[in-house]
Amino acid sequence: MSATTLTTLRPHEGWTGEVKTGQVLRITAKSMIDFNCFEKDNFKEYFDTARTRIYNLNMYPTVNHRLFSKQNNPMMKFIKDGFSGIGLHDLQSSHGCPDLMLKTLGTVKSMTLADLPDPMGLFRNLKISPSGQIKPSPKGPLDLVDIELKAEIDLVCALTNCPSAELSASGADCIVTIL
Amino acid sequence: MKIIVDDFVPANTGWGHSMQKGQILRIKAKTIVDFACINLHNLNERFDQARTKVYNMKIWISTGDQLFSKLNNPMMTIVEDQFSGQGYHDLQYGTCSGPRYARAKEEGRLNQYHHGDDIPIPDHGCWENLIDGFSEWKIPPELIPSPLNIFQHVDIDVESGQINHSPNRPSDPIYVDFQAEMDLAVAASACPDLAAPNFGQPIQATIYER
Repeated sequence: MSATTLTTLRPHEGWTGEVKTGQVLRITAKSMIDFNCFEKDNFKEYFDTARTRIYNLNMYPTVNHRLFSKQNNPMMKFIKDGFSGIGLHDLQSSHGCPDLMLKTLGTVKSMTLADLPDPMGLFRNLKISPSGQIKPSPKGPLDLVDIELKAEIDLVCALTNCPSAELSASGADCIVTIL
Repeated sequence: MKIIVDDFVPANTGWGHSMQKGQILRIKAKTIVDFACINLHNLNERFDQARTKVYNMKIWISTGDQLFSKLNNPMMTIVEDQFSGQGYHDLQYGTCSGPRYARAKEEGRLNQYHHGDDIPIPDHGCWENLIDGFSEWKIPPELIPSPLNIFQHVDIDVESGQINHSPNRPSDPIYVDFQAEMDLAVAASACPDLAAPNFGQPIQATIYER
């Protein structure tokens, strides 16, 4: 399997690009990453947090879960999760850096905040109490860890390296690789 | 109480209406009602599950909590919730739909969402009903918001994140009152609710002024 590093993102930088069916997107990071994806030729078909939660019947995305679209079709499969056992990825929240995501996506598709689908919040590690209260946790991975997502259709993916003092342990570079 | 509109909504159909800031929408039912709202003067400003959860900092909302838009503005306030103490309303599920039922049946997973793999499935659900409810405003299907699922009590293990359907529903029709914080288009679906003890039932939608 060949690996091509596409970019290394500094904190508050974003990346967008195509990921073809069968390719694996590896994201290596230690701070909060917001992630979105769209069907390559049909942006009306976009990653949807609610569809993803209910297809997997779980609030926290991890290995073997599938990312689902608004129109209820599989988009990606979570095949590696280096954050498992350390913390939880998030499907409850909005973007931490919506302006950065809009700017990043703007290179391929002009979009407004109203049309920006909610993200998967990688490494966000929100805690939910038994009473349903949401509490941010500053605990992220101490070292860089990998997550890998395998495309099930041709996609445009986008992510932002979005550290914040409130939600992430620290800002760090994020490496984006295609396998 | 001045009644503006008082509509009977048959099971597995959609309903929609406009309402003005300050008016109150009463949804009365004993099974799931998928509900969404849109700014009447800016149809790009829609109810948003994530903003609502983060603004209230909780995954279950009730009296005193507000429904928020994607643009981060308050749209409605829950002013009375008769389900409080009996169960929770849901902000995890998207809408059920014909394609969603078909996929679950094809994958042999109906039992994970409902009560049996051999139950008859409808050809449409809340997705199609909300499209119908918002038809006056021509909201594209892909922009129908993921809803607030009224009376959809879901068992959630907050440690593992596991989501399990539940038959916990009101034994008799009860209501939730929502006060509009802006002029709105509102829509509701009388969900087919295959997880309810006796499946989906009709609902009553009332808009009134105090």
